[in-house]
Amino acid sequence: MIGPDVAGAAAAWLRQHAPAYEVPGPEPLSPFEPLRPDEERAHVHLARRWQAHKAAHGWAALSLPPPLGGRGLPRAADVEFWDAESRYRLPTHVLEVTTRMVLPTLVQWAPEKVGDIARLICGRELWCQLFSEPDAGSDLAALRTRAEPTGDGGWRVSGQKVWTSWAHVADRGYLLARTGGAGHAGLSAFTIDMRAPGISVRPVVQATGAATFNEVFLDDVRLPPGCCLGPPGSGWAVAMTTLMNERLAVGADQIPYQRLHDEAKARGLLGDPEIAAALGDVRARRIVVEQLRQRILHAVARGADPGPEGSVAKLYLAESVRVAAGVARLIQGPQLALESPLSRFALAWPGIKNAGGTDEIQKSIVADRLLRLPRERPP
Amino acid sequence: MSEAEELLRELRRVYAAGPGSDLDAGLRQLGLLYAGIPEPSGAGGSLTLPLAVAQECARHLSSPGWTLTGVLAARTLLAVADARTCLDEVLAGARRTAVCWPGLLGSEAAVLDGATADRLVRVRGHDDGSAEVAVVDLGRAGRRPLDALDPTRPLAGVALEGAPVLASGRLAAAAARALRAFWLLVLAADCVGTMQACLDLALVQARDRAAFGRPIGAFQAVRHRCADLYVDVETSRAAVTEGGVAWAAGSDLALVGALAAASHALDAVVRVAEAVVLLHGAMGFTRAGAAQAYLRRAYAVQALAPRVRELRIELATA
Repeated sequence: MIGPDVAGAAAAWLRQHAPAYEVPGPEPLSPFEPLRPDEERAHVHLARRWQAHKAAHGWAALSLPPPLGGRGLPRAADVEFWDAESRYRLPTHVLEVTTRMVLPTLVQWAPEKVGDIARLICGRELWCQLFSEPDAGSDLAALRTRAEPTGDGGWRVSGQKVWTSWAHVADRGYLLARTGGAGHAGLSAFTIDMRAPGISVRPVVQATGAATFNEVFLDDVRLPPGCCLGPPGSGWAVAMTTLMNERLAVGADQIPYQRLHDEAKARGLLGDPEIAAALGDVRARRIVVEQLRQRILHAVARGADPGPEGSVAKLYLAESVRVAAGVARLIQGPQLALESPLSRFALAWPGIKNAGGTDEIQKSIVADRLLRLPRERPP
Repeated sequence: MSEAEELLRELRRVYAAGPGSDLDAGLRQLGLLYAGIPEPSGAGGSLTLPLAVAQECARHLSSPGWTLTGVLAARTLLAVADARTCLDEVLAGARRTAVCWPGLLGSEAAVLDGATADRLVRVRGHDDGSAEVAVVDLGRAGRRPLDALDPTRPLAGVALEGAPVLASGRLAAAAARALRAFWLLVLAADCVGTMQACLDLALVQARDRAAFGRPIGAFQAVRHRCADLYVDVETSRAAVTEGGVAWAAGSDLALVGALAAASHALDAVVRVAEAVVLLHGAMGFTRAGAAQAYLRRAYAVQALAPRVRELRIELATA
């Protein structure tokens, strides 16, 4: 039984169970470190097994109500578990969209889909999130993928999605499509079978050589009745649930201070004041990111929704990853001219800047919702 | 309402009464300096109060230097067994006390409030990590008032040869480290207060100043500059608050937290003050504009404190 000390109970359980599911080899410096296809297959397989193991022992969905397979704990308990989990080299990265974004959205908007939720929790189904399009990234509400009713309660969908993380390994998709006119009110959310006829997935190779995200083409894909997530026309509200939950994912572990420190030490560079000062900056930033995150968690633990304060944390985190990447360049000196994990880390920071909303989008959220400045005039 | 909130409410009331001649007395009556020390018999004691006082006082440029130096002096004297009488005099408001810790805040060449204070609490760090605290009678010291960049925080050079030492003590390395972390956190809190005042000014300017037929706060360049300020203020505030919690818990990482807070806030305060000057256009370059006063404050604090670069090097190598 889990008492009030969720973190302590999680740590005790993980000590026994996590080591068998750890990914071999050193921790990657960034989530954009390339994997060979066989490595990726093994990684995904291990991720499903780890998720199933957690579910079997009741650790997969602490905040869900018991009828849905959870333990009815507060949302903050989930995050405490993630924190404890992140101390091991577990294959959770491939599960993040599924468990941290899709799951809370399903629970809030479609708690009646108990079968979907159960298959998700036990690792049988991985999900991807089909939001951005070639002409609708920051301006998500401009998306053009179209869903038309077929008359029998089903839908047919055509369009193109992009930057879809893990679409190439996902079983299910959570899709945002246009069912009405222009703007937010014309959007609806759907669940979709990623193996349905008409769906093709093409990987997009990132600057580092990794291919964690994809283009997804939807050519007259049939959705059976009951696929709408929330009432038709409420797609924007459904998407907001997801994006707010995404902000809980801001974590200091994206700033690999200790690794950079060790690399500098191994090269005998800690005596170089420029490098030491740059490393100190990274350490301070990591501490501050962790503090910001704790504040968000405390607010969530008090019952608040993860709100626009997450934008402050996201802005600071993304900039800090860029600073850390700069330190990786400094440390390497001429070796930066060669491919290596550290060189790829130096290239990976734009991925963090874009994921979850660019700096410009986050700053506008801060200006509107936290500073209450006058709105920009529409064009 | 918490003790800290109550004190801050009173503090704002005193400031709202305006910068009359009794501001000093009004502030002193609040017992701000007591905020620097824990309850009797309390061990470490929460830093919520002293850090809140340092922040709030820095927001008001009119605050006399002793609100900063007094908070530092009180906690420092508390650490020295021999200095209880001096501490009581400081707390009673009977003696104005300046502070200086070369390498941390000021030096004998530039002592905050050095021209008017009765006493100087001087801390000197040693290579073995220990520190020496001395309370010197400034009445018998040589003093040379300086033309300070920040006129709200007067500076003086002091010559201490021959001046009587009223009390002294040596702090072992652990106690010296904790005291240094406290000073760093108070400095960082002082910067947060300055930054908060700058953000307040920036938001008024963004809403009230109109150009091209709309408030300048409706232009993305201005909105995003304000968002940058807000990120600097909130990240610094989090670092100071959480640093204070770690300090009060006696954590091994207390000095690391204080170094993180101070290096971040001392860097951010100049960025924020510069941005708020720019947001005010030419008015930001006038003596009459408040933005200019905060820029002087920010530059002066950064000049008297350790260099950000040195703090960062310590963070990476400590």
